[in-house]
Amino acid sequence: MALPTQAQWYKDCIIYQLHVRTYNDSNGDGIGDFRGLEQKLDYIQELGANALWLLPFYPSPLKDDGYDIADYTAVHPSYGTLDDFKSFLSAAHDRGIRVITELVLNHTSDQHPWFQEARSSRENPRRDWYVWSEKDDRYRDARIIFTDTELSNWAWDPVSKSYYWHRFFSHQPDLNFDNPAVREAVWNVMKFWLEFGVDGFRLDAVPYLVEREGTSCENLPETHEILRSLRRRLDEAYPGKMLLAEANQWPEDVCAYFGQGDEFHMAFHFPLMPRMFMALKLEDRKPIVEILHRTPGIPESCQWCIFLRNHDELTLEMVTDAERDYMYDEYARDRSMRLNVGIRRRLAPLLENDRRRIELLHGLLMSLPGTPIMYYGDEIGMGDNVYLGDRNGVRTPMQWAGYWNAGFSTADPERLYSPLVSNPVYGYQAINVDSQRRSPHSLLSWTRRLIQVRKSSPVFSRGSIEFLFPTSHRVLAYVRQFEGETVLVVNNLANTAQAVELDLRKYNGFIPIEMSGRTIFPRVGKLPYLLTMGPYQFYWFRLRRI
Amino acid sequence: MSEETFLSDDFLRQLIGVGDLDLVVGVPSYNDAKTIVSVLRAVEEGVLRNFRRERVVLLNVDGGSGDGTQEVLLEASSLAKSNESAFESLRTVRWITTQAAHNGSPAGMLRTILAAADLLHAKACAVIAASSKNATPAWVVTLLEPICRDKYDFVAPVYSRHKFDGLLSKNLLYPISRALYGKPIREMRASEFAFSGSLATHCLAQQEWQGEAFQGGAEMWMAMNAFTNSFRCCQTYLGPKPHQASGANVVAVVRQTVSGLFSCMESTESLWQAAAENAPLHTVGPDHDFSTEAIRIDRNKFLQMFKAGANELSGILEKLLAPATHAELMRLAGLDAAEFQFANSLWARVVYEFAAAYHRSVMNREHLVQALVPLYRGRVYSFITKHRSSDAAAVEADLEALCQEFANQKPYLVERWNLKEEGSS
Repeated sequence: MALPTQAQWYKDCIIYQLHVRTYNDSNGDGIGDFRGLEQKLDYIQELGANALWLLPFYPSPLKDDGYDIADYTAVHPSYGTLDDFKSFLSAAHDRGIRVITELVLNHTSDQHPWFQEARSSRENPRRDWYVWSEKDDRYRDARIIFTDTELSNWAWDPVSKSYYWHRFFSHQPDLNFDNPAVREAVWNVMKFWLEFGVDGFRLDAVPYLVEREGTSCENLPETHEILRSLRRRLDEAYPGKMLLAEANQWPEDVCAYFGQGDEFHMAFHFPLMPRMFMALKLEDRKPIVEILHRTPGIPESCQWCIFLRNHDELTLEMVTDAERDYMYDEYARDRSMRLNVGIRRRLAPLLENDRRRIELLHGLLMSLPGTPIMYYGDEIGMGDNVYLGDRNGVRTPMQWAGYWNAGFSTADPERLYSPLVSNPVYGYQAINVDSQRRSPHSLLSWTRRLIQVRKSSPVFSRGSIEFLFPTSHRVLAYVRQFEGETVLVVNNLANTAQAVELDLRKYNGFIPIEMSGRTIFPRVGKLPYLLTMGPYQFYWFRLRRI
Repeated sequence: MSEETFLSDDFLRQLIGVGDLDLVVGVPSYNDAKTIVSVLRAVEEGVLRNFRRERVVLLNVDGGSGDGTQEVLLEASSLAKSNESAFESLRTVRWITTQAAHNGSPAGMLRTILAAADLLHAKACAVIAASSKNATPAWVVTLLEPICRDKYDFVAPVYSRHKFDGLLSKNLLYPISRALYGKPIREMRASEFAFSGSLATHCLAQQEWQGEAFQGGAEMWMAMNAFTNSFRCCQTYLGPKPHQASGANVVAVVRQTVSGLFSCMESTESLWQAAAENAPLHTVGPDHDFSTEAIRIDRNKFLQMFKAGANELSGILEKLLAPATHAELMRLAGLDAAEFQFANSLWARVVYEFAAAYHRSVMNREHLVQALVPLYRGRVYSFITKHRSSDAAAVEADLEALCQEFANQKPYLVERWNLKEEGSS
């Protein structure tokens, strides 16, 4: 059953990101699956999320956790069948939860039949579906993305005795988007899932679709034209669906992916994410304010997606060298925590399991402009295991309970797709959904309430933002407004109590009402409005004129 | 009874806004509208280049300028906020400005800076005068690094000066601090120096803010506080110091300096009366040389003023000085320019006898100190004449000899100083 098409529904979402494999195992084989996920939809609904973003669940050799796709129109047998997916999708829609799936456009697995055919001979009809070269010296200006593992963007194919282009792992050859057949094939893949009823796609690695000599091979005009074409076809055939761009670029470059409102509906604001962590450590609003001031306006129909953590490393690509060094020194002193150009840790360990800081960052996530994305497990403060290699340490099984396999699976523990986190601080005995459900003061309960408050006003999802500049740079304060409603957000980024005076003369006569407890605060007057704030405390005030 | 507070509400509010930090760079100003912005920009660049991760505030303390110094600064700082700096900063670098306490006196300026450093728990503080038009970004790190990295508590500057520049330091402060305290600090009245947070807290707690010791020279008082209370001290080379003609301010400067010096000697007499080993002071930076900047000095005027002063004040000098010293001075006053030579030994003796007389309150202390001024002029004339054609080595050798003279005559000082306790003059 499809959900009713509501204009710009994606702006009002709280997106919950997860991998099917990590969430819940229904058949005892140690691997999460769609039937298991369906069983947990009540939990997701209770949390307050109304959209799910699923990481790739397609057949794959799983050398890149499913981003190396070997079949675009099936479900990996470990996760179930297409019927299982259909049942899950229907159950999600019944609960008002939309489903966003992955579309990995840029590349396939080298095990995909398309590539197997392409490499089999130079005369094969699919030869031109990938990017080949006799030498490995073309497109020299393209950077290497996976710097820890790849030395080149070209890999030698011993079968067809030539080089093929890959921006990611060498087992992920890039598709050739200059080929119309490739573009048609991609559209057919989209149609396949749209016919099922999925509500949108997260398009992976979109900046890299097209290569041109003498360029960085990123964000090229031809890439945008291909994406606009896909969008046109989508709007025509499946109105009300959403495209979300994964473009890890500076804001001004990402904005191009919105087009004139005719390309992507949403895009991740990558540069904002590390700056939230930086601002917290620096105890200074500067990184956040500067990046948002630098962010150009976007078409009215478009929306940023903001996030704290996800399945990848906390990327430090879109920061300066000095900022990167600072982040490494402050958040990843142990080099085993660093991967590629980022930090492979979960939210709670990054914040040293400090409940106050975890709450503050969630407060920022839910109150800054954009659609928030929560990574599974962050709502209960799950930990990580940096020794699992690659980014697997942040993809451990969901911790449902304190008993056998954290309630994730009935399989033998050795059979789990990944070891559980089991240390005394973050282990499943200490951190799990069951325990936190019992307490109204747990992080889970608090997060649920926060989401409820956020959803109580469209200001957060659709409103403007105006920063205030109190003399203390440790305080980040801003006003959100939408259709006559005004919310004041004040965040203390410091570990120490702060007294802050806010210039609220514009709101002279308004009464601030704190939104979580609905407490009335003194009326705003002409003098600076004094607030005293505890360490890492934040307030959301609805400003009412009564 | 509540203690008088010297911090204005507005300044306190600004400090609350700044919060805890690592470094303060204090920039005292008085009628420095023409130079303050360039000084602050140099300081800001120094901070952004070298202390990118530290929490820093640039604090202007103004002594009541009438030329719009603070207004110029406020306009420049708001422009700085809106323009992108060439240097990346991880943090907000704050510029704040306030009026100095105690009606804008130098003492008030320093006290305000100390209060800011103390309240904000700064680890280190540098002071760079707004009049220092040759201030460079490197000064910031040169002053602060010995404190931040090497855990010194007080950093005095060393400059390349003209051989005839800073004569009060060369002829009085330097030799006397060496002789009495074993601390060969070249520049005791510098407009640039740095100190640790703990020294700031210590100095702020002192009671002498209105007293003579402090009025005589805040920087000198701070330096003496540092090395008489076992704080770790060092010197750092800052480069050339352009000559600033003091002209008509010589009287005031000498008066303030000498009053401050003698008061400090009083409060630390138990310390300097014990034998002081002359320990070398760690100096950061290259060996310095005298600057070759040309300066104009009317040395003949100094001689005239010495002669006139010595003769007019002969009666007063007779009360203050030992008979032999007085006689020698009067003989000197009668000599022609060609024969005039104010020897190191005589100068040391004069200074010490004045100090002892000050301590014994032989006469009104202000008048006493004022009486030294023409004698200082005579000393300056002699020094300039002697070294008209000298190179740096020769001047340095003479200074070393002067220091030795002060050291040799220290027992004499002790003897004269303690005459009061024995009830005889």
